Formats: sequence, structure tokens, C-alpha cells
Amino acid sequence: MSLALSRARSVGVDPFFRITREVRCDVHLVSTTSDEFFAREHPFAHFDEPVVDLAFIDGMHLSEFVLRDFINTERFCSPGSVVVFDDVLPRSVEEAGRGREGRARHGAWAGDVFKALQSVRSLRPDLVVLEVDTFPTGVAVVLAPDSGNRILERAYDELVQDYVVQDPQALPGDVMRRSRAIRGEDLLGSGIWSAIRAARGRTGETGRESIRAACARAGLTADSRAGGPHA
Amino acid sequence: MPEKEPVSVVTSLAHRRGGDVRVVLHLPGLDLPPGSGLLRCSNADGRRVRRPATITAADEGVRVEALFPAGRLRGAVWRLAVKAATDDAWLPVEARVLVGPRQPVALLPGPRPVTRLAEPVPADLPSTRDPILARLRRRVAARLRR
Repeated sequence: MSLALSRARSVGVDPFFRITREVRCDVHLVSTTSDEFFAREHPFAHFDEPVVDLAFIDGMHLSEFVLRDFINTERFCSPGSVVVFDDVLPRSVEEAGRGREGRARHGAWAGDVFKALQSVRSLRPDLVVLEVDTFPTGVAVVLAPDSGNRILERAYDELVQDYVVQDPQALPGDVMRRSRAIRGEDLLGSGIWSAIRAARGRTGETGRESIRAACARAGLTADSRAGGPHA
Repeated sequence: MPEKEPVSVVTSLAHRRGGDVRVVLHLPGLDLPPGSGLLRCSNADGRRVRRPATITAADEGVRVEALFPAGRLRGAVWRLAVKAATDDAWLPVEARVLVGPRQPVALLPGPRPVTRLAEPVPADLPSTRDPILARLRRRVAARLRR
């Protein structure tokens, strides 16, 4: 679905992909797991340079797969790259299960991706993490990535032991209530996108700081929204 | 080729622990006696690494856990097989372990995908797979630079 929207040079990775819609972009579809894709010597050889501008992470709806995908993707990011996590806002404990029972009973299955996002938020305060209130199970937009940061990679081996636990999952109330989530229209209509475009050509902390500042000015980050309707 | 034992994707994991790689497999369909066993990793080059495993009863099957020295699994994707201490035959498992130098250890449950195309090389690097094409590409690039 997301690939059908692309008009730029793209790479899609799925062990068993199926094409069900027309695709109108220059795409390299790779039939492998994302972990094996990132183990390649030049995973983004399809691009002019090995930099990802926009990444969409599905990660099998499981926290450890999503966190690995983010760790591996961030190595190929510039300060202006945008990483989207799917399914971060389950509406019930059933939808947040690691098993697929949530889909059978409720028509939607988010899995426990919310745990990976919690780790990103707590261990990487340098990143901008924006939860977006989309139907049915929400997305998160992660901004200002740092290709040289290894904090999550070092933490992964401990985190995975906490992630892989039997259902039911402990779903925090603020996730279920979507108390941090912003509306998609507000994000798209905010003034941050010119700062993000400008940061694509920059390296290091300057570009990342300009994005954090733009998000604060737009009232999207937690500090700037304190006391607001979403705080 | 014996059928591979399915692995639960939601209750199995692999990760680094100190200098080891810890592999925990939940095999819901398997009936093995609880106690000691062996877990084996083998790669495409024919290398094999076996380690003692602990087998315990788990939801509708067994849980198998073993530690492998990380240095012996470096830089490869490994197929897995298990057997109880009293058994002769190895039971192949439908999961693999990836141990890469620049990324987290990953357990890859499920059937192995078939990747048909060769890995592309960046446009500014000569292809090592096709020397004629690489020579041609270098000549064209040199002409374009003139």
C-alpha cells in the first residue's frame, strides 16, 4: 500500500511480497528478510547514494523486529530522514498481543510495536518521536535520526528479553488513550517540512537541532505542548 | 529432506549475552523428552557448531535453549537443528540465526525466502560478478569523464 504512493526511487523488502496494486516508481523489491537485507554489503545500491529519506517499518508487528529494523535503518539516515513506525497505538490489550488473535476478534492487529517505541523514546531523547492518531492502530514519525548513534544497538540484547513475553502484554494507559498522539492533518500542515528538507543536505548535530527547533516552534513536541489538549 | 519443525515467532528469540549468542526456541508441535539435548547451527559453507541444550516442556511442545560462542557464529546465517540426548536423528528447525558484524543478532523464524537476483553493486563500483560488464562500465565511465 505505502509503495503504491511512492514516486521516488524506492526499495521494498519482504520475504514473501505480493504486488496487489499498480506501482509507479523505480523500485527494487527484495525477496528477503530485512535483517538479511541489512547484512548485505551495499543494501541501498539501488540509490545514487546509500541514504534513506523516508523509511516505513512494519516489522511483523513485533517489537524486537521493529527495533532491529530501526537500528539497521538509522545507519543509512541523514539528519533529515523520516522514519515511520506502523501500528504503535493499539486500542486494546487484545490488539496489542504478540499473537494474531487481535486480528481475528477485532479486525485489526497492532502487536507489541508500542514497546519498541517506548524504548526509542526513553533511550534516545535526542530523537523527535511523534505519535499520530491514524485509524486503526496509529503510526509514529521519528525525526532527526543519527547514523552514528549506537545506544539502541547496545541496549538491544537486554531489551529483547523483556519484549519476548507471553500475552497478554502490559499496555500502558497513555498508549491506549493516545494521549500523546497528534492529528495527521496537524503534522502535515505544520511548518516542519521545510526544515526537514533543508536538513537532508546537512550532516551532524546542526541539521538535527534545526529539526528539533522546528518541531518545538510548531508545537509538536511534548515540551511545547505542555498544558495543551494533548499534554 | 525431513520436514522442518515450526518455531513460534512470538515466543522464540536469539540475542548476545556476554561473549555468547543465546538461542531460545519454542517448538509448539514437537514432542521431545525434557532434559538435555543438542542444538546445532550449520551454515552454507558446511560449517557446523553443536552445543548442549536444555529441553523443557512448554505450551503444546518444548522449549530448547542453548548458548553458542559468538566468535564461532560470526558473519553468517545459520540453519538450526535439534535433538534429544537419547535420539540419533537431528530434527531440522524452521528458523535461522543471523549473526552479522554491524547489526543485532536476529532469529529468523519461518521458511527461508528465495532471493533470485544478485545483490546489486553501487553504480560507482565495478561489478565483481561480471568482469566483462565491469570492464565495459569502466571504459564508458572513463570516456564520460574525458
